[in-house]
Amino acid sequence: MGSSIIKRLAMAVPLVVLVSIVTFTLLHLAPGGPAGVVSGNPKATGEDISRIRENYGLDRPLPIQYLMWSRQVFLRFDFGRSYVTGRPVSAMIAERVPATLELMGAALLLAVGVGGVLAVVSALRGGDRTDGFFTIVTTAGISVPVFWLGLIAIYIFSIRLGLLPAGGRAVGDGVSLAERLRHLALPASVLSIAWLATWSRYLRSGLIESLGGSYIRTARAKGLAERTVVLKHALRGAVLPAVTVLAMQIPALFTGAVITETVFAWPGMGRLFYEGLQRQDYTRVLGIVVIASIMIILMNTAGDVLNMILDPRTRPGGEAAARGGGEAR
Amino acid sequence: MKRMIFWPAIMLVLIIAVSAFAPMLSPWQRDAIDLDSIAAPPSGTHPLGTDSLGRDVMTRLLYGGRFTLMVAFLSVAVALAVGIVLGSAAGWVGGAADRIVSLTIDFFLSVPVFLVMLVAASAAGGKIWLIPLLIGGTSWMETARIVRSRFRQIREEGFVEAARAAGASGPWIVFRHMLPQAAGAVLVAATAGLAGAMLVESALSFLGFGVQPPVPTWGNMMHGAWLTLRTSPLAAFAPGLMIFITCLGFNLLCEGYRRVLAKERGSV
Repeated sequence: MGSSIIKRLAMAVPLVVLVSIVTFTLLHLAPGGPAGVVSGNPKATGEDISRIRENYGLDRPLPIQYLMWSRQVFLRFDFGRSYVTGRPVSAMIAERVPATLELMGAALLLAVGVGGVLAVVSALRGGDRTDGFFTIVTTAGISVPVFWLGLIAIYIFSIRLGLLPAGGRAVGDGVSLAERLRHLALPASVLSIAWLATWSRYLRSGLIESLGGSYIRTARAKGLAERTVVLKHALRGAVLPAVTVLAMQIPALFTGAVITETVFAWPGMGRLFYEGLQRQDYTRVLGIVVIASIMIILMNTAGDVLNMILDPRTRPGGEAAARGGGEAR
Repeated sequence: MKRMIFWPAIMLVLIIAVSAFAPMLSPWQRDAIDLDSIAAPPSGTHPLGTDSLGRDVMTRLLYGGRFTLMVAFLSVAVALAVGIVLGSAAGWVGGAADRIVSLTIDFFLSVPVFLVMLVAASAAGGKIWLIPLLIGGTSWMETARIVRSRFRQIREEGFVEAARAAGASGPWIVFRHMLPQAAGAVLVAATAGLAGAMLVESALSFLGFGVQPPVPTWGNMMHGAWLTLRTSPLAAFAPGLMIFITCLGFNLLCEGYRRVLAKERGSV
């Protein structure tokens, strides 16, 4: 497992390079190209445009441009300046990362917490009886368009009921925690739905499966309290595959972030990306794709580490120990 | 389990039929603008009201179903084609082909595909035929994985060997003998794929980078709808509801079918 983590991190380099090449090429295929935003100015003369192109190095062949960009990015971690605001792209992204992480973290907590309780309760109430209801609810969770859910949430909770703000993020010194949570409530809930559905479904089926396992019979036979049996023994076996499924959905979280942040005017990376794309701010778009790729790789690696902690079989020397334990049973 | 297949199937057939017969069912022309009622609430002439340009929401909803479903089916067709070819290559040829395909799958599963897709869609400038290529080209991994693992299981089995001994060519064995063995699982993935493709297309179109108006899809009907949320909420909610129930239908169908397959396999 340790070697798999090293392998994953080593894979990261070609991965990020490949993603950046694809995105770079796509951006330059766009009508007008990167200079389009500047040449869109009706007062710009042909001479102005060619000077701008020269300034940004846009007159050189595409591969050379990519090499120039990648040298700057990967050696000095300098993403260049935004075509729209003129500010360094890395600073613009750095400002927005905390908002996105806050949103994703809150959504994850909600999904794991609420979904976990739902799964445990439903598994304990007898898997068969709750099965139909649970299947429909979780299937609905993965079928609902995030932006639609967001608009409904805004309509009900802020337009009709006036309970929660329709968008934005509350930050600063004088802002109370309650105010921050009030702003976070709607976007985090909406973003968490798909995660909640998948996670609770896998957790529940894992629980039902492990409750029928021989080690649970052993634990019950030992006279352990039912509570201990479920929470310490069965849950442990069920959490593992569910965590793997959760980790596989990390890239999808960025999809959700773009949409959720746009609908709720949440000042995170997703919204920065969307606005950049609308305004053809290519350095910004490229920078965010690279940073998002790196974030996904880091989160996936964290998922691996978590797996290693939860599953003794994947620890070095753990395989034999786990097998030995199995035989002893 | 039967209910899980029956009711979603009925609902989907209805939705598809209504979309197919849109020209006969809709009271207005698809892009007709009624200047007397802009962003209007439901009325006798406009059963679901009008959008911010004064177009009949009901009419566009019916036509929107056509384009939305068409893009979804085409996307899945692309995904199936790519997934089957790459999955067969990996599972049948093996070796270097297998490693390359596996690496490609890993690559697609660990990058922010949606962001890159948005960039591609914006570069494409709203050419509608590019959307299924984009969605299909980034959602074939599940199919490839199913075909690959099934092929690896059955590669050495008697009927394959018999076909080979009888002098059948590689492609013939793959398509005539091996692919049918993976058909069930592929169909399950394709059904879920329809819902997935719809959600991606709607998201792209909602953000304004997918299918471009005046061609309506349920997604692009909601583009900008948040601006008129106060005055005409129905224009925003109706298309989303259609996306939701159609996706729910496909996903429930997929779940029901998956269980039938699992039961069959269990009883064998």
